[in-house]
Amino acid sequence: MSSKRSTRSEFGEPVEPTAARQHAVLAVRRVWAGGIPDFEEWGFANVDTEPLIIHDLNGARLFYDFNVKVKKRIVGVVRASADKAVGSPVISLQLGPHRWSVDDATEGAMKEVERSGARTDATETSLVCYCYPKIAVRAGGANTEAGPASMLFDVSDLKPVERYGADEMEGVSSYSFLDEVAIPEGSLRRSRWEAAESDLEASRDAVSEDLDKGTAPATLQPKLAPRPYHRLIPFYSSNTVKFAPRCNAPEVFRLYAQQTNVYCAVATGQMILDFYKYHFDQPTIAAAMGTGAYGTSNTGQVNGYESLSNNGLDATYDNTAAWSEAKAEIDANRPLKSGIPGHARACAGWKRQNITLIGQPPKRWLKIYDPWPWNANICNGGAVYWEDWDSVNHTNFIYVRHA
Amino acid sequence: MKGLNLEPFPTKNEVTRAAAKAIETVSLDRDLEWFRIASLGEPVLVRTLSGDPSYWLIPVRLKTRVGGFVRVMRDGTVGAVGRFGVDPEHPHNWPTTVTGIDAEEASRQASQLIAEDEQASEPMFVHDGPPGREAWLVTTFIAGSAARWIFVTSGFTYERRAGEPLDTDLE
Repeated sequence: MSSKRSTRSEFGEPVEPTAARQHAVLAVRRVWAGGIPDFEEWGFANVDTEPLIIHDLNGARLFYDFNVKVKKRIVGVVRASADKAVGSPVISLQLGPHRWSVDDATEGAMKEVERSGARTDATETSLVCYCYPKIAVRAGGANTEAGPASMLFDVSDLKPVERYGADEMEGVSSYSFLDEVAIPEGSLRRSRWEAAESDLEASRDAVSEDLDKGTAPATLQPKLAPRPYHRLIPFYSSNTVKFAPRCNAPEVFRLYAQQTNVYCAVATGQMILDFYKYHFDQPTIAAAMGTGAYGTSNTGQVNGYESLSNNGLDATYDNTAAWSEAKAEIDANRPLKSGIPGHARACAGWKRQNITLIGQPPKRWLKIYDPWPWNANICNGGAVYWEDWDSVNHTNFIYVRHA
Repeated sequence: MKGLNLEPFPTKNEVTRAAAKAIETVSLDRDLEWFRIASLGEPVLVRTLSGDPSYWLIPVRLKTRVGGFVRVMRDGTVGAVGRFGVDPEHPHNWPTTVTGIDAEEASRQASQLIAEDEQASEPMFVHDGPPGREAWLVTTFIAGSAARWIFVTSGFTYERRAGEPLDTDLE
């Protein structure tokens, strides 16, 4: 590996909106063709031709946000790269429109500038990614004493971004994504971009003019999705527990860290009890579960779930945990406790590989909400991950259901 | 009886390749979308309590901060891939290392618990129990005999008598 630091002149290479849109369209069709849940409409959606432009802190274009529409309704937003130095042509696919309004944020930012005493020029505003993924309105103005200046206001709450620039302390400042993240890893990111370009070319050859039509899903889907045995099978199937199955709730299950080294079952209980709207702190749950100096027994956990819910919940211990049993619980929209030797976690999702090579078993995963690493602040620890079912020894499940 | 494992342990290059593939497949998850613009850091070896190599932990970085990880097992398969729970919306609050704190800080925290007649080992990154329960392990010695195991994590420290395995009947 070369130790030479990449420079902007080598790797910063702007992407035109039309080229970025082609990647966006491919991404939109792919998530639909792959059978990804919640993206069912994206097979016949249209990608706007005029993106919202988001700049880097250094002034260059960084992202293009393309609205994805079904008729006139915005069903999502694709964030595409406006510079090859970013590496991946498509950064994110969001369900639903932006949660903030450009017009409101711009108007609010201009008022804030006025309030600060700077003379403003309403034409000088732009959107800036100041600390990925946070976006601000950059409002140009001129202070009578300091001369021309620009101010940043976060689009979600209009709070001013006061500390920015490379000379500020890391962690409290904003930063240029291109200069500080992308370009120092220019070689790697450029190779990613080249791979994506080749992929786009190959897809264009395969689907020709159909890709952007958005009106012929039946013919388009088989060309984009993997197709063994000449019939359509999504590459992965998956499901997660949802608070509101009728809505696209962004957070489906909440992770809490364990507050002590022996509170894994307690924190797991807190996550599951919260899901059912029984809200208790960890010491209360520990008392109900009979947690001792070395942890919690499974009997104690079962008793705790039931007593804390006044028997509104029925908890069942299963010491022959099987992946299909976890899947059945998730499909019934119920999170469960997953036990491995000496440790408890919550499980709120499953994923399965549908297509494998002959002779190889399909991969299966569980979405684990692990309260470890522990932290006194329950919102500041733990981990959420997809765990290969075969990578750990599953000792038990506890199913928690309405009585 | 402790068995001999003759399978070759995967190299850093091998596990980094496996991790790169893994983060591609999960980046459609809404809370892991940022993996698309993330980069992988230097793999960290996680050992058993007896010091044997057990699996690799590969940091998923955004700038200098670590928000996610890939766990690659000793057979080269990806055991888990995901994010840490630390303030997912604010990368500047994330740790700078996949181990939460570095060995130096673990040593410093453990040293506050060391008695006058005790000597402390260098910290070793281990999993205490099943994969995922990771912590820095500092073993203390009194008159040449192992006395205590002090486990240090980014949140707290805890300890038990040296050589005593985690009680797996309790969780």
